[in-house]
Amino acid sequence: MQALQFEGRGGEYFRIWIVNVMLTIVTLTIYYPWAKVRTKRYFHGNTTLAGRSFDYHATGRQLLPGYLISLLLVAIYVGAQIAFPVAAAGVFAILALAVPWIVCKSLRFNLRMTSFSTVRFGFVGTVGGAYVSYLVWPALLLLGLLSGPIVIGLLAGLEMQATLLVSVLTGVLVVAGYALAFFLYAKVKQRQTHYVINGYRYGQGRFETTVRTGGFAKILIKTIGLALMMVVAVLALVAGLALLTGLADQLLGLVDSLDDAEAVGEVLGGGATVLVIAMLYIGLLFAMFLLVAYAYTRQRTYILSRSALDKAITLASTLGARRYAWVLLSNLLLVAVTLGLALPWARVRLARVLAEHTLVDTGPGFDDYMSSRQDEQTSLGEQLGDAFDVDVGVGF
Amino acid sequence: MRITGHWHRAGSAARHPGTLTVHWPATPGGPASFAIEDEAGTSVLHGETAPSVTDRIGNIERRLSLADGTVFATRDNDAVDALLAGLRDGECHGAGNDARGDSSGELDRVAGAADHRAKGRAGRGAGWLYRLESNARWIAVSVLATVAFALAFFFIGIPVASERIAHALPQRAGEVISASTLEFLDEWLFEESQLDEERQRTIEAHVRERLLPLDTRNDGIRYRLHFRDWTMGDDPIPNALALPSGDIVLTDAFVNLTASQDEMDSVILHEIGHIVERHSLQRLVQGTFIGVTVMLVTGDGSGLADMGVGLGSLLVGSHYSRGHESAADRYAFDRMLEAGIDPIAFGDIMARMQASMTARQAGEPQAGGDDSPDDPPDDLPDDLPDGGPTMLDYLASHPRSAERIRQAQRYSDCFEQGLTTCPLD
Repeated sequence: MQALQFEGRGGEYFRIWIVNVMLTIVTLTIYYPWAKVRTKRYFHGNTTLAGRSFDYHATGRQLLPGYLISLLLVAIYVGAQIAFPVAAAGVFAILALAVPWIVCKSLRFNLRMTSFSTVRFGFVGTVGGAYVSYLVWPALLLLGLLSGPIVIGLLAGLEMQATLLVSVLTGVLVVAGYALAFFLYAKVKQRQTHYVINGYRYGQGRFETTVRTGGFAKILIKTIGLALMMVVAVLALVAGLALLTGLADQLLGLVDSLDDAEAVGEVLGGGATVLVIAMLYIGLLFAMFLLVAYAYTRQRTYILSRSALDKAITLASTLGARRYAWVLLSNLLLVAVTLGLALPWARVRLARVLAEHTLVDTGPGFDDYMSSRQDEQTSLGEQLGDAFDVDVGVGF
Repeated sequence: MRITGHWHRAGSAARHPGTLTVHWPATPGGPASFAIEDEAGTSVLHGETAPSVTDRIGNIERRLSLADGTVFATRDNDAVDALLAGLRDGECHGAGNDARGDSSGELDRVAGAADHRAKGRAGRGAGWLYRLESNARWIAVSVLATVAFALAFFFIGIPVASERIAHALPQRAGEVISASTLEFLDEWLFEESQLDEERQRTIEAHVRERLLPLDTRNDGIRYRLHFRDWTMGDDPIPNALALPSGDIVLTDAFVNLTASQDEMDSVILHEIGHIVERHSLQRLVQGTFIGVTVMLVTGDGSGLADMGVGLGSLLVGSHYSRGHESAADRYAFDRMLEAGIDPIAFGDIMARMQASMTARQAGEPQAGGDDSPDDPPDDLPDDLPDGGPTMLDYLASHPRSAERIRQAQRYSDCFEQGLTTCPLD
């Protein structure tokens, strides 16, 4: 197993980024597709495995029509939102229906435009498959999530008397609904991972994944457990802080003097309250980052460990939740403090961490992989798919 | 010239170490020739078609695709740049070498000179983008231009564009966006007014005869005055609000709180200011602008980027909102000066609403109980006076009451000097 390397540097990317931003502004955003190509080539080109690098082959001119159409659609949507709010909901629904198509076309285009060691990747998943994985299963999940309210609504509609039996029955049904939703979430993850990874090609080689619903369910259970623990921890921390700063005493003291406007105003507007609320916000922010990082890194580890190219070239992820959460959080702070100017360093840092924690078994070697000429052809539909920039991340 | 790197057969991932040798033409205008050799020095490819070369970006590997699909990849970016510069100047290379140099010694000598010249122009082979990116002065200019543009965009571009768009839309747009707002408020927040019918009629008549004629722009706005009772818990809420359709709602507690007709007029004029200047529409347009900008800049819909940027757009949004409140205040002060009403009335009612607000907050044990709808819908330019701690000022949607009262005092001074307009301070 050998780790990917990322050789880009923040200062170097900053120069590329700022020139991209400046040219995009000067050209009234028409330059955007070229800027995107330059950025992608910088990140792909600097990602290497055993001395071989990735590359991105699309041109700005190829991306331009798709970009213009997506601009037009955004303008229509925004215009509709202002003039006819109800119509905007319709436009949104149509866009939502188009998501699976966009996912499929975007994957096809982006993978065909990506190469490693000069051989192109590809994607052979079908549009129909995308609709099953990205519309049908998620719609079932939504139904599962709503089953609680639906059951209660139905019972209310039937005007049944609230006997013990009915209450117990309702409770059981609601719990069953959430259990179903829980299972469906894992199922959706499994379907989507299958759709994406089993569609991947590298030259004539096929990627295959054997991820199972149970694997995702386990990760989800642990994530929920972690979430509960962290909420308790944050609340305990805030309560402790309230005690330490004496705010708790002040609040209890207020119970007797609720009519005294000044006293209440003094406590609620005081520094201690602001401090405790700020701590609550920061605590929850930390918890949120840790949770997102936990779910992402565990899924990444699981997916990569169960995916391989031609059953021979295996993959692995060594990215831990704390490391990833720290990178995300510190990047966010860095970007916020510098009003966005540190974005290039943040991106390079994230790319490096992701690359260095991705392992590939280079034993079988890549020398037998070939790309055929047709791998390089694309259709306008695929270019349009790319315009919407959906990031179908499955941990690569 | 000789470049070291790796070569791939057409379409193959297998990579072999090797060199690319360029033989410059011996005669002017003649073709350069390219040869790839493997490590052992065995020739792999020899041809005269110039390779297509990928752009230089940072220091990533360059790929030179030759005629038969063979790819030569190298990190020696400077050498590739020199090669490209040399190819571009190819025609004038051989000047003075009329005779075709057949001997390899002659070729090498010419090639050496051409190499030397090409290296001198290497910067040109890298492409203009790379040269921009490598030039410290251009980087500084780009940073300044970008920062200036971003500031101008948020503090001038969006407000001005929103104002233009809001005023370009027909008044009907205002009616459409608030078509069901009053019904919604009636259903969830308001109760029927307890004020006696006669008092309502008197106020309506007064507003129609005395205040509405002050709006000389007359955009076809149909003003309607509504009286409602708004009680939260046991506390009646003193408030006035304007809907873009021209509906103005006065709560019972507000009417009862006013000590004079002037005070009531000042607040109604403030609300008319919101309607005339179309602040609700402007906020809608601004919100859309900010949302789209954030989406384009961060480029991802994931919640994490939002959390950082969300705070930023909240700050910017509050900035716009405070601007609108001040604008509506100025509108009210100007109309009051025209109509001969002392603007201090606005300061008086602000102070009283502030006091009443503090008293109401005191009635609740914690800030923001779960069961009480604390805020009216966002699109309402409500007029709850604020009195939060200074730390939170940047988050406040309204200017601080003290500042608004100070402005009322300033306009009142103008009024006492008999002015009908007041110079900006």
